[in-house]
Amino acid sequence: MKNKLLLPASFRIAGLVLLLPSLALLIAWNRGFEFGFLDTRGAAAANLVGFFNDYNFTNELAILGTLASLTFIAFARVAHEDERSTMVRLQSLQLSHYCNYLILAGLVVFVNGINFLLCLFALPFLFLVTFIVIFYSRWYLLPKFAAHEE
Amino acid sequence: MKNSLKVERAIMDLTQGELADKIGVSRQTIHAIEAGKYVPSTVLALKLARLFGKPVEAFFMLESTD
Repeated sequence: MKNKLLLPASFRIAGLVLLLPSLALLIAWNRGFEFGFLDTRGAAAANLVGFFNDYNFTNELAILGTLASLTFIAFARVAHEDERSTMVRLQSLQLSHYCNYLILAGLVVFVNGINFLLCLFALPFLFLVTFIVIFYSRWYLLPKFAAHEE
Repeated sequence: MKNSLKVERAIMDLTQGELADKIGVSRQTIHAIEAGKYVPSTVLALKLARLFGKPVEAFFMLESTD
């Protein structure tokens, strides 16, 4: 059974290449860095729309880059895509859902106010990260223990 | 469910990798089936049966717990 909803395997490499600059940009933006060419302040087109007339899109670029790269890594085909990889992927999705709801439960109890909303914003990213860690560890690392068996 | 896939593979003198290539799965999948950690789909079981020239029941057996 072929899973047609997956991305081509080359997207994993693209995701890895995109992840580092996106994270670096996110960290830099957090410390005050902004791209000048992404600034709409004073731009005629932005003033026409009105909504974005006083804004800089550096953080949007960093967030979209991070989101895209994590999605590429998470949902790219593995080298030998077969029915067992589909099963491992489904189990990993389930486990990462459990992890995220466990984290959400912890947030509800221990975090309040604006920090709670900030943490909620990070949860979808954390879901992709936990899925990537669980899936690739189950798919690539565990079979290596059995690599000698022929 | 237990299986005698390892025996059938030995009879045909195939490595896990060669068997995997013949039926279009990864070597790790063959290992997982032989180790009883993964139960293959009907399609994969029938592909194995065709390759070995035997019915599926010849190398996949139900256990009392199934």
